[in-house]
Amino acid sequence: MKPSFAFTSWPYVAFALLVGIVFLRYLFMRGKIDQIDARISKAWEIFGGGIFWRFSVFLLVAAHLVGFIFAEKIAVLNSNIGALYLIEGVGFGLGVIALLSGLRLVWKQLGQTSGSFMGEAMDTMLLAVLLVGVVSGLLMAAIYRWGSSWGVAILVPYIFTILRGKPNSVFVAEMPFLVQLHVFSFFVALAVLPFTRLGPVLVLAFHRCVNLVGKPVLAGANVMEGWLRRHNPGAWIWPEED
Amino acid sequence: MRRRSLQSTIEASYSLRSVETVKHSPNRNGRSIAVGVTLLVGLLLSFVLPAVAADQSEASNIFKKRCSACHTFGKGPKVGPDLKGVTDRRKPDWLQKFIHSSQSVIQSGDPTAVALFHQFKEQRMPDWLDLSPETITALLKYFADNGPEQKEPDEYPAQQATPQQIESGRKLFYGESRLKYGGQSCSSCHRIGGGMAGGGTLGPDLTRAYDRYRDTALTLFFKRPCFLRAPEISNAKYLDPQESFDLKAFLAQASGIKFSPPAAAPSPAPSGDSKRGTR
Repeated sequence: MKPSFAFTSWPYVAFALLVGIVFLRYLFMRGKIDQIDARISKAWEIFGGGIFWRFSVFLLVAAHLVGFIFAEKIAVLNSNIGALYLIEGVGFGLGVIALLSGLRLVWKQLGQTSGSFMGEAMDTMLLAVLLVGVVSGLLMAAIYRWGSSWGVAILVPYIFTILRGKPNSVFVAEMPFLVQLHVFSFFVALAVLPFTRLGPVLVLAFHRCVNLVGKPVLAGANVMEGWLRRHNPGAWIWPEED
Repeated sequence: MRRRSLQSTIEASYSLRSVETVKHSPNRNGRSIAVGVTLLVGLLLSFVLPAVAADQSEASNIFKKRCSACHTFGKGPKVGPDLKGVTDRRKPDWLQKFIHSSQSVIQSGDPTAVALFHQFKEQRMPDWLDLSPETITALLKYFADNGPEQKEPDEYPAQQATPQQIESGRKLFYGESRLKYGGQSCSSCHRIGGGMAGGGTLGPDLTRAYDRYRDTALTLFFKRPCFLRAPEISNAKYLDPQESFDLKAFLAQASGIKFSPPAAAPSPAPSGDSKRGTR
């Protein structure tokens, strides 16, 4: 795959798949939202894993988000060698925990079969992609150290170019293969996510968002309808009809 | 006259903000105070701004735009005299007056001015009434510091560096001092020597970089960032020439290059304060 596609168009394809498939699944499931809890508990069984898996993945995602949002602050912080060692050490430790607990989760998962073939395949694919992300991240930290420093100068601006709608793949194209793999695995995970049995979690989140936005819209529509009934604008527009 | 018009322009540009402030202030009767404050701020700015702006690069621009058409620096007389050594030949006060308005000095009967006027075929030098005394002082300092013949700090060979400049380069390399334009320190991606404290491993080891590339290539290399990255992507500036020199000096030291003793360095040694100011 050419870097120009992988890092220019693919992020948008992945995002479109995420949003589009969640929306489609919502359309199919919106009549039986009350049955979604059973599916979510199944998803939790598959992906929830142990406490180490949950916390390490959560903290790794949070750390990436913090690095993305406070890139400049992290760069300043890293000029202190103690802070740099701490950030990199904690990140590496969390990566190792995520890898070990993730492998345990995959091992458990491989021994069980339930649900459709497609669902099984997608779940396995997501877990594999997550492990690729964790392994490439760990190798990056070991081989190309101080990723928290160079990442904020190279990878964060790349993500910003995607968010601004003007993707610049040169940022990533000049990076070593492991860095490219780490970034690419993130977008693959985004694309695969809605097809897995974690999809219903996203559907429920989408449903709650729709409700949240829908309630005031519905209330507004009711008020408007009442006003129209009371004032009957038809009488002003077509007075001869009265 | 021109000075007054400059002042009024500055006042006008700041008066809007002052009026805005007055609108929101509880004292609505204070229009006259606001006008007074605006005038005062305008007056202060007309004195302060030129002093701040009158740095060496501005002097260099003024020389290129206003002087070089008629004067050379070290290449002999042209329409007017050669300006090399002008600060040794004439007193600063006289130069201030002459640059500001040569016509008035000649008309006042000043013997030096009249002699110059006749020597150079009675060619009239334009009056530069818009140049403030601070700007003319900066221009005279520029001439005294060897004018257009002076080099940027990064054009000097790294072997002339002082221990302070090498230390400054070390701090810049490891991010202990921030780069002027906010760039990432070199050690984010590069290392010097082994060990984790030596720096990152994304880019190549720079221990022998000076040995391999030497001054000219490194100076050129330091003109732009090695990767496409922030903040340089949104900022045309990368390294200050003094930073470039200091980093080059640190790399030279890391390569094991022997430095000339600072005392034996040629006279226009890149001290950092001749051109850019000491950090």
